[in-house]
Amino acid sequence: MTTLLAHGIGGRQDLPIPFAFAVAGAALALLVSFVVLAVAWRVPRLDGDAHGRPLPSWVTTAVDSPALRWVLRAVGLLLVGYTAMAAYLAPDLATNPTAGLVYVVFWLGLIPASFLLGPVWRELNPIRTIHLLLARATGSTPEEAGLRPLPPWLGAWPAAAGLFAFAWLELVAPDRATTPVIRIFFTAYLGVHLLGAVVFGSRWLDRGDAFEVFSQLIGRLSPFGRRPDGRIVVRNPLANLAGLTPAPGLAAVVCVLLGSTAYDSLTGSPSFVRWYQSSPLGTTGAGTIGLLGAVLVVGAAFGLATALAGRATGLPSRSMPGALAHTIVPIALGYLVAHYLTLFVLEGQRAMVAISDPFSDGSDWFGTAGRGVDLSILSHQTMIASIQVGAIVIGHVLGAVAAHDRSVAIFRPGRVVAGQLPLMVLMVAYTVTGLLLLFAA
Amino acid sequence: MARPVRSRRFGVRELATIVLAVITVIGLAACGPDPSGREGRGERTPRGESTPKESTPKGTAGADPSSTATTTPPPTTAPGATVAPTALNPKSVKITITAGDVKGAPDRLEVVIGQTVKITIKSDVADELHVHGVEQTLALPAGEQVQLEFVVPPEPGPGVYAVELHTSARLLFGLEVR
Repeated sequence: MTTLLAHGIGGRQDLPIPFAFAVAGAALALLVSFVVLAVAWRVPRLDGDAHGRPLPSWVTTAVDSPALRWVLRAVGLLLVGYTAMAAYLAPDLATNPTAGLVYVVFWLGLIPASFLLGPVWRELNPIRTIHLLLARATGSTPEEAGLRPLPPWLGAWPAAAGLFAFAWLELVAPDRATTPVIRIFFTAYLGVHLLGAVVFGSRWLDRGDAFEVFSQLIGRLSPFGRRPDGRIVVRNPLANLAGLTPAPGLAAVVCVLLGSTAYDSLTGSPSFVRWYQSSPLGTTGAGTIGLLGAVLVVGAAFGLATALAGRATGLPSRSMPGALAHTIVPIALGYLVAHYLTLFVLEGQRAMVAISDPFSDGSDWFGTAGRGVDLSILSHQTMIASIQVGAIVIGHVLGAVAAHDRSVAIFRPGRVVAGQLPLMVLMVAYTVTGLLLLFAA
Repeated sequence: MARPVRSRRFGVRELATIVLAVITVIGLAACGPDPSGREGRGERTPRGESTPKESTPKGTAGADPSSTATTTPPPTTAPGATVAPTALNPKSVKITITAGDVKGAPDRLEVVIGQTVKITIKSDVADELHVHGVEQTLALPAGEQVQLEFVVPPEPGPGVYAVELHTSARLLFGLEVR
């Protein structure tokens, strides 16, 4: 996101982390991996969706109440409606809030929101609301409103494609911070997913909408979940994560997330940028290939590790990616935190200033127009580096624990270590790459 | 696949223990002496950061903004050493752009707050030079050598800022402010 915003501090990256931090992080990740492999428990302890400490029943009643649902839907429509207004009606200046709202407040903001509260985008998603209203108008329920059953092989593949398209928009597309480009993307996105929901019912959005799936994945690391009977419970986030229902393509979603973040980090390296800027394919062509390459490398490594795990344990290799995809989610979250923390803090503030004056005519809608950007986070460089390394390492540790627990659950006793080893090597590779990118890119 | 009926669950307590352990170790790494961060990236020239960290409290090491602004010599020097005079010498780069080919640009130019930066630049086509963060711009007339000179301001603060050409949307180098 080096050149995301034409002015201000958009063209900023964090300082490289000190070498000692990178080494300490990598050493810790290795150490924890071996400890988990060698001495951890031998029976599964993360019991997925079955358990959890139930919250008082009024919590479930309140959260599920139609009134709250409609309030949330209205909030979602308002937020997206405001952004659409800025994108369609306001002049396309550096002070236009659209890019900040889309790339920072919405996309990066979904991470803390989902991490704290669970899959929030499902409740706010205006596509879901529009589809619901359409279904009501035709007298059916949104789940049944589809014309055809959703083919089971489709799974989360549409979400993986949608996420890749969004990553391309954010990181590669020419003029990606301008309103016409953002407009085209989201108009097409709305069209595709509304059509998907009309054809397949609202089930399409559960697995096909990239932002809903993203919010679901991050939300699995929140402390909140539901029991099979619908009751809202508080549970260990790792148990929450283990309860993720495998679906075809879910692993691809995680790989797109990890690969695109790594690519973004790579494009901070001037030698890399110079290489692709002088490529005969042009900046966009080379960027597209670079992004696709990063995602494919991450995906191929995951595919190889899971295939080796399958071979080592005699389980069908085809079932492995689905059974293990959730273990990469904490690692992807660690990458996201490490790469976007300061950007979120700084550009998020800038967006809050920009929303008060969307038409750049000197108005002050929300009283924030005159505010500056508080830069004090930048005077804590050691803290920033510590959080970056900490996020990557904690992501690794949680991934390793989740992988171990799943391994003892699905592999025969005696083959557990053999089955787990490829995934551990993969995780160490992801983590060391993440640290290297923070150090060198 | 016989399993004990009752398996201990991996609970919030275990999770918290792991997370706390990682934070502690990272915190220790942050507070410890940090020679390799400077040595490991050999070619790089003097750092603005790094007051000696042994005495700094955990978690806030190096957090004092003034430590970022002043310059200390390499970490082998005793605590309390004075500012190395060489560090505040102006930093100069000379860049030539011919037919889209950039010559003379470093990958990163490392500077500290308060240091003078001189960018001498010549482009065969008219363009505009833009230094992000410190927000300096300079019109580049076609075929003419021009110079941008500025002192790195304390704001926005440490980070790597893109130095680019606006019209051709090319990244020249990263201005690494410490």
